Amino acid sequence: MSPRPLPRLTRRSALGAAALASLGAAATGCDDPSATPAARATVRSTEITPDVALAVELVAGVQRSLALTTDVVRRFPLLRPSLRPLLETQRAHLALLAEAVPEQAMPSPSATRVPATSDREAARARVVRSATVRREAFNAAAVEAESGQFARVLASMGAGLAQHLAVLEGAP
Amino acid sequence: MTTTDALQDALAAEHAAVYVFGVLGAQTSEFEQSTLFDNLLAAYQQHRSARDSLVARIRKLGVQPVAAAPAYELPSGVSTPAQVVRAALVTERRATQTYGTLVAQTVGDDRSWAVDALDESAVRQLRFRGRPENFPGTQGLA
Repeated sequence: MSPRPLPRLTRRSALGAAALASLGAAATGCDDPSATPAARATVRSTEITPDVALAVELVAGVQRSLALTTDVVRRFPLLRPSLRPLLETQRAHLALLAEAVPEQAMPSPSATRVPATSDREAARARVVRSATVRREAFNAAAVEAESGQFARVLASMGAGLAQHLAVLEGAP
Repeated sequence: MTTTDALQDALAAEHAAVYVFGVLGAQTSEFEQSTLFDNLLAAYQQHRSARDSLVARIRKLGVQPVAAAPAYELPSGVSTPAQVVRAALVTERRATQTYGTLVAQTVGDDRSWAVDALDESAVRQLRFRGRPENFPGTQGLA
């Protein structure tokens, strides 16, 4: 069995394809051709495809990790140099993933809660744990995804986090 | 491209990687550049292992695995340690790209294996002065 092929080959379109698949009966018929598939879709939970559902779940997770890293970097300036590259990658992952999620299905970032700590090393360890969980989630989702190109982008995100984790753990 | 084609492409890439890392190791002093030598040796062994896994997967499909070429063109000169490191990084980046493609072209157990291989290859780049990227293995999807 081969994965479902996709005609367009960019990271953005690979993720957009997940949203595109949720169109069909859900589309509103908006006339603006420049609008993203996600923006043109009216999506009810029963109409979300498995790949979009994966993206929604991953967005929620990345939002939590990003909120944690942002908070730790703000509270502990000494950690900024080592955590900033990870923070930038988390932002890039969230920005791209969000394109696969129709607006109506986008998780609210305000729902994330960041536990406070005054211990710098404990805070850093928490960021590493959170990134490790995200890496595993990306890799698992990559195996599960229906679209091959969507899977490739998800696996790439997991590999990007693996690189950051190797640097943070000092053992590439 | 079928799953078999994608596996064969990955195997061809691994044949090349095994060859190149073998040459790079032979160009490197085990005593004067011990860290580089160890990293090259580890990469060589990991690529051999990946090659053997791909051969087994392709045979399982009832297909003859592609053979290695007699020799491969090196990505750059290899007469100095800096050139060796550069060639190693180029080779590893190509492997990461190959596994990105393999992820897209496979399903199930083959894809799971490809995801792990992509992960390992991306991390291996760091041993050769690679830096973390947002989307390793998606160069063709920029």
